[in-house]
Amino acid sequence: MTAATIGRPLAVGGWGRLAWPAWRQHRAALAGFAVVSGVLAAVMLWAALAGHAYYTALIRDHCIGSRQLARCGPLLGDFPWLENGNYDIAVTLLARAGPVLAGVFLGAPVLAREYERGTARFTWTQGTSRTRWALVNVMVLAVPVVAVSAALGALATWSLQPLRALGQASRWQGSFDSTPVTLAAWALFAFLLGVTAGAVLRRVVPAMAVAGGAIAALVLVNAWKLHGLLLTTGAVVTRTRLLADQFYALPLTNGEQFFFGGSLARAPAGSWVLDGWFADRNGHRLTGAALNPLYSLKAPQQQAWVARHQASVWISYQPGRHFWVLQGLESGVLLALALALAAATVVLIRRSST
Amino acid sequence: MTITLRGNKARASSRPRFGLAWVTWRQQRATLLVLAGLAGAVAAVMLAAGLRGHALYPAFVKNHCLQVAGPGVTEVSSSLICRRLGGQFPGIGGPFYLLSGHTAVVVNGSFLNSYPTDMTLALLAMFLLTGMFLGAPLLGRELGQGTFRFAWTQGTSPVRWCVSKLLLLGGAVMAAGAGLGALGAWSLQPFNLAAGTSRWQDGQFETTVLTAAAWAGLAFVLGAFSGTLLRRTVPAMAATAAGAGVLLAATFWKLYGLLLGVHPLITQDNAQASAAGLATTAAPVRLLDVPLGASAGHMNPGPPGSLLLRGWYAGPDGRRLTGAPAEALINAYQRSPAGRDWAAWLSRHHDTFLVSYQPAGRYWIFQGVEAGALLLLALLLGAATVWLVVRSRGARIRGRRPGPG
Repeated sequence: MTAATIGRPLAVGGWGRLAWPAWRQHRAALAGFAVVSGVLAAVMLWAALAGHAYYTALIRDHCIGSRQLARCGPLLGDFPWLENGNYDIAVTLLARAGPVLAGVFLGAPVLAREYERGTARFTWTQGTSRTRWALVNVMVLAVPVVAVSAALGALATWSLQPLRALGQASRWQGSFDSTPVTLAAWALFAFLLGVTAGAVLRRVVPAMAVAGGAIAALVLVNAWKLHGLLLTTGAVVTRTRLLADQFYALPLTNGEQFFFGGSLARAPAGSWVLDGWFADRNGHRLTGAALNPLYSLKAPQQQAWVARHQASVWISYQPGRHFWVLQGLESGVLLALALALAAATVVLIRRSST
Repeated sequence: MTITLRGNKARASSRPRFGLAWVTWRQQRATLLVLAGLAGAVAAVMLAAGLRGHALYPAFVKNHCLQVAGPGVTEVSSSLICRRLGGQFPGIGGPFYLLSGHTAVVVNGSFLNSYPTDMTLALLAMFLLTGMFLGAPLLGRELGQGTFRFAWTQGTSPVRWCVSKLLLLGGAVMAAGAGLGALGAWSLQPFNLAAGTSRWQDGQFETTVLTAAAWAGLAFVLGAFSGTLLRRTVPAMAATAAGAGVLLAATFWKLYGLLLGVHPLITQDNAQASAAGLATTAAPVRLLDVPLGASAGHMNPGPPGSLLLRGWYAGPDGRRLTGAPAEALINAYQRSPAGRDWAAWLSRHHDTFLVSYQPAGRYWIFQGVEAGALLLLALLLGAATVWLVVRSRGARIRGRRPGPG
């Protein structure tokens, strides 16, 4: 800060003049954010490079789905993430925990700290409007949060590609919320929820606790229920046929198929199967005891049973072309909520007494 | 609060321990009540899951619904009653189906697809929160805002003030952690018996009655230490979350495996070769030296209650097969018309599959080692916290000029 800055009212220089003190105030938070993001980015970059190199080697040696163990065996042992899908789970957890941390550590203190220390009162005497003051403080953090989240989402998506190509991870499941679009939307929403909690409670630690609780609750409800509901939106129902048991021949792609005990039915590549069922000759879905013998049959007998009873096999699935539509739907809802929170915060600040 | 203390100084000093406990409670009650509410909610979920699991498990046994490990095949009954019972286990999410040579657990679109994982994450997150919201502001706020100057004029020395707070709250946190850990382990028993999980798995291993108490205590003391060191609440909370998070990540990534890999026993177990997936190529596996892990042990458990670590082939002379000889062995088996009885085929050719494992009896020894290490770290951090308080400027001022106005 120069003497000239102190000597003049802050409003004279407009937005830029406000941005400098805001940056000074939040640089510790931004530095912490940069360090954490940098570490995550480095880990994902390493995972992406290793995974893509491995996948290239698999393609080069024609080892995908191969049974030639002498040639492909040593190569197939090189990819530790394939076991238990650990990397996919780690990315999913980060996409869950990241927004909570952004809301708690970056969002909640922004306004709460100014209220708690009373520095808000000083700032409001400096000839700048409260709204502008709050907006600048929020934007100084919100812009990096959104930009870095989108970048991390892109990196996560890229690093998961080899696992997806091998059928070990699905873009429809855990990593649905770690694409650039959804991760940025979640981060912005969580950040603004923290800001609003700070503006309401005006004390830092309670605001952090409330924001953390609220964001975590939403993240969990989304994981347990809302995501499932989202995936049923606009699902396609189609009649299909049973395939013979092919477990030994092909790399399994989770989510593109439905298991009917002995055999399975597949949906088009890139889709996500929601449900599968048998229907009788009148088209009614078979339930309960009628299925009991059917599920204990091996694949050929199952196919024969279906033919003999003039039954039909059905699946409902989300086709691959709906992926970005659903991504947009979820992100749109989150952005609308974020805007509502921002508006509520502005109203709160305007009405607050000094 | 403070006025009462000053007014009744004689009475307060006649019951000093109780007095400090009361002050500690009054200062932290909001945080303590919120944390207790969270712990109660987690405990209620675990109790519900445990009661349901313990009620369902006998029905599982009675209806022959448990997984049966045969040579090369793990069979799960797919009868209606079994599918219904399987679907009722909380968090498993779907029925088991019989597949030739494979068990498919159909999970209905859940992100973290099982109760055991959810429970572990919930407990560890609770410990992190305790460190952040109870530990970090505990001493840091008083030192940062200067209220310690008043507290130390009330006839309590800085050391006793600090030690009492740490011991009282740390003891409560560890007791709660131990209770939650014990409840969690109890609620997981039916899952481990019915669903192929194991108490040796990293998540369960880190949240038993011993390790949960130790992690809870460590997170709390780490928070108190960060608060005392940094003297500002928000950075101290961030440091606590980062420190405990890094320690947990390191434990799950490396330290857990290092601890359980210490001096394993070795035995011959040909049947394990097929359970380890060597006879099937649906999923890529390490062919020559197989990490077996805790869940593989359930399908074909090896010595009862043990943790299988690794498996490898040995030739007729007992030497470990690596490289080309091991590949030749597997290829010879695949070309043989003998069907899928891998164990019998190995025996006929005088080859063996060896496994290294930790026997069941060592479980609580390893638990004690890990909990002891974590507690030692917590004690060191606690001592460092007290040292920081004692050498702080406020304490030294008090030593020269008792009771500054």
